[in-house]
Amino acid sequence: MLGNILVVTIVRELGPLITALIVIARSGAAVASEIGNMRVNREIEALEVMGINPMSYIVFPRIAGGVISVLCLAFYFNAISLIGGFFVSRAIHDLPFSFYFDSLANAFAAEDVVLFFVKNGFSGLMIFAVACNQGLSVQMSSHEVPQVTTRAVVHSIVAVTSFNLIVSVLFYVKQLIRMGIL
Amino acid sequence: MTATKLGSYKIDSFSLENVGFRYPSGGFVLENVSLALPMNSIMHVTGPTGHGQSTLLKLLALLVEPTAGVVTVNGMRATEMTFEEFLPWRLEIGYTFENGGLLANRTLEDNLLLPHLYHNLSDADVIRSEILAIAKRFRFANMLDRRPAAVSGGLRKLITILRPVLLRPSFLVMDDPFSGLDPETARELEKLMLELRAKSEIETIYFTSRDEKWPMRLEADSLWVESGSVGIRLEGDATG
Repeated sequence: MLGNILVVTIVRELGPLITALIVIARSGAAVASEIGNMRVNREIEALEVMGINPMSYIVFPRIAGGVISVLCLAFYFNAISLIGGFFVSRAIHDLPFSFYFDSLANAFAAEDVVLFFVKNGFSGLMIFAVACNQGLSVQMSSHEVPQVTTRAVVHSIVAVTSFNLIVSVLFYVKQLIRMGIL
Repeated sequence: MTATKLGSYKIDSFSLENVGFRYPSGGFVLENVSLALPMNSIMHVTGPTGHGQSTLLKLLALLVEPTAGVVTVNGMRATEMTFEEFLPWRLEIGYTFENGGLLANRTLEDNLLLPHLYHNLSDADVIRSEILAIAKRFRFANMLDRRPAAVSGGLRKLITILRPVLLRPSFLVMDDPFSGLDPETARELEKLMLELRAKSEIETIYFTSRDEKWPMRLEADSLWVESGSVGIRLEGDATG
């Protein structure tokens, strides 16, 4: 029971969402303002005249790095949360580690690994695609930079939250169908 | 020692057919311009302030797409080609910015190296030695490892000019290259332009300048831009 609760709340739901929110606040906003400022300082135009496609030099590396970093951060988030969960349960109920570990191991399924990669991978993709898109939308003036930064944060939160919600609903509907309830 | 280029895609002809350009927020800057640009020459793009000279230069560097008409380069409709399709010819069109244009998170040397290394145009050591030689000539060799924010505006401008010059484009478009440079550096730049022209490493130069001295010193013909239209005035031709 303990393992099931922790896997459902931390690994499936809170982990992807909180990691994504942290990355949006920490990096999504930074990427949007960085690219916006590059636009104002004509760095993007400079790349174009040098024959360097800004998509391959600016956008794709950030998206690839974003996907990898969100996956890694989500892994850390899950690992530290589950270790923290052990210490809390030990403090309250004096549970031995073997019991806690077995409970978690029994609760984990292959679907959780798939869900981990789908939710976190696509969250990273969406956060940095939105940030790059907003940054590149700056036309000429520096007053646009804070505007696109705010838009990037808001759009990313909406996209990531909606995506996580949809994936979770689909996942549990599939579980209910498999159990014969639906 | 000179860096080598990929192949010969030099710009032999460049024409505008019914080209118009308007910024999203305003009216037409250029309207219905049809012109075969004189190549293998130095042209001073001039006219009243705010009448589209810099916009014309951006069009020539294909930095902006015309909102009407077609830009033809070497007989190809450049405006209908993708970035990758046009890349070999794009490398033959150099553009220097009036302001900005340096990558803020890279040193001056890296800014100069970037296009060569990215496109594998030449051996890194060869181009590094060429950068060092030109830095010594323009007296900034001791600042090559600094980032743009740590040097003067004049030096930043010089780097944005030298970056395309080091690529030896056959067609060089320069937006007000001499303003903001000290007189000695500006004269050295003029000398470099003429040297590269004499060696046919850069064949065509289009530039703007607020100072009438530079077009005269470079013996440039004029491309007159006013109220959205463009006309050619050859050197000494008062009729326009």
